[in-house]
Amino acid sequence: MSRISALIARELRSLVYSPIAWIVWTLFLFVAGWFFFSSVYQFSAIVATYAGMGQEGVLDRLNLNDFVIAGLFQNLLVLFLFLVPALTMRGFADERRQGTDELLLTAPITPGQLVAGKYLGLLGVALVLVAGAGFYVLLITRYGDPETGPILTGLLGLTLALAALVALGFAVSSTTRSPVVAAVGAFVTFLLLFVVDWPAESTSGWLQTALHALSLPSHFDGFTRGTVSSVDVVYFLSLVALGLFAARTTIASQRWR
Amino acid sequence: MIAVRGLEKRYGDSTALAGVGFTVEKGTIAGFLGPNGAGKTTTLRILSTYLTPDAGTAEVAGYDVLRQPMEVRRRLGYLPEHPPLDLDHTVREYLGFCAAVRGVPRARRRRAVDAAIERCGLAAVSGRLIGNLSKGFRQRTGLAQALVHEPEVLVLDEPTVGLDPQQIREIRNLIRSLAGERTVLLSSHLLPEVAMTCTRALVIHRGRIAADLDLAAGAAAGTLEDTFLRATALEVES
Repeated sequence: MSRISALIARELRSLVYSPIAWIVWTLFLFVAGWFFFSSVYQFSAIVATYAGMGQEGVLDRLNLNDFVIAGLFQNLLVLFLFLVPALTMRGFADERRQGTDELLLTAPITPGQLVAGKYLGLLGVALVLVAGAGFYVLLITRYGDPETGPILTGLLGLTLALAALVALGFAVSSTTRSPVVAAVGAFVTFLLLFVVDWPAESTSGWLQTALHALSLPSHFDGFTRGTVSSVDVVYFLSLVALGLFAARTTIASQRWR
Repeated sequence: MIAVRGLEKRYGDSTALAGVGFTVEKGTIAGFLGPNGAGKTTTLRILSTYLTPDAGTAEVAGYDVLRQPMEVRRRLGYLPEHPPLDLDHTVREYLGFCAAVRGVPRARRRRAVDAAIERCGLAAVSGRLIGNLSKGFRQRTGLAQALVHEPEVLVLDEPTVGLDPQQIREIRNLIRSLAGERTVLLSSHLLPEVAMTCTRALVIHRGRIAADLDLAAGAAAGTLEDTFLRATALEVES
C-alpha cells in the first residue's frame, strides 16, 4: 500500500513542478470560462427577451439548470477530449522515453500495483485540474438558485467520465514509447467513443442498440439532467476496468519481449 | 552472489547473447568489459529482471530472476545505462520515492535517503531539481538511487560514461568504498576504468564470455589490455 501511495504522490508532485500541467490548466480554465460566460450571457439575453414580450409561461420553463449548468457539464466533457490525452501521454510512454520505466519495472512492485499507483495518481491530477472549473458552478449557486440535485449528479458523471477516459488514455500510453503517439492515440480513441452513434438514427435493430450502448455522451447526458442510471454507471466502470486490464497486461508483458 | 549459466537472448534476427556464463563471489567488484554491442547491457538487464532470457538461468543473491523476480528486486541496486531520473523532482524527493517503492519502511526512509545523499556527495544539491543538475551530479543521483535501499548486490551499467576525469575519480572511489560489504558488477568499455576499480574482469564479446581475469593479484592495465584485445580479436578471426 505504501508503494502505491508513493507512486500517487510522485504524480501529484510532477503536477506541481511541471510547466505543462500549469499551461494545460490555464488553457482549460480559460476555455471552460468562455463556455460558461457565453451560456450565461445567452441565457440572460433570452430571459430578457421573453420578459420584455411578457411571456411569463415561457419563463417558467427556462431554468438555469437546463440551460447553463447542463450545457457547462456537456462542454466540459468535450474539453476532456483534449485535456485527458495531454495528461495520459505522460502515463507510461513518457516513463519509457525518460528511461524511468527501468526503475519502476526493476522495483519490487507487481504490475498490478504499478498500474494502480500510476492510474490513481493520474486520475488525482485530472480531478485537481477539473476541480478548478467547479468555481463556475459555485458562481451560479451564489448568484442564482439552481437545483442542487442535477449539479451533484452532473459532477458524479464528470468524475466517472474522467475516470474512464484516464484509464483508456493510460492503456494507450502503455503501448508506446512516444508521448506524441500516446496523445494522438488517446485522442482518436476518445473521439471514436464520442461519434460512434452518429449513424445510429439511420440504422435499426441490434446495430442501433449497440451503437447507442457504446457512445460515451449518450451515457453521460442522464447525469446532467439529474438522473443516475445503473447502466450508465456500469458503462463507465467497465471502461475503467477495460483500460486498467489492458495497461496491466501490456506492462507485464514488456519483460518478455 | 551472482551466478549466470548459458544465457541466450535474441532480438528478432540478431543474437545479443549466445550462452553467457560466469559467477561473481560475494564482496567482489567485477568489471564487465566489452566493445559496444557485445551484450553487456542485455546481460545486466536480465540480472535486473528488466528483461527475461530466451534460455539459460541467472541467480542474484541466491534467487532466480525468472522464478523469484521480487526477491531479486528486493536485494538488487541497479543503475541502468541511462539513469532513470525524475527530472522534475528534487534529489531528495526522488530518492525518497525510490526508497518507498523499494520497500524501505517509512520510519527508516529519511535516514536511508540522508545516508545515500551523504555517501554520493549530493548534500549541496539535495534540494535542487534533478533536471537542473550537471551530468556529474545526475550520474551520482543515479548511483544514490541504486544504493538507497542498502542492497546486497549492485549492478551498474557504465557508471562513469560521459563524466570528466575528476568526476570519474570520485565515482570510482565511491564504488571502491563499497567493496567487501556488497557485491558489485559494473560494465564499461574502458580498460583503465576496470583495471583501477575492479578485482575481477570479465571480457564479453559477441554474446560470449571471452576472458575472465583476476585483477586482485595486482595485474597491470597492460595485461588486461592484451587479454582484452586477444579475446576480442580471436572471435573476429574465427
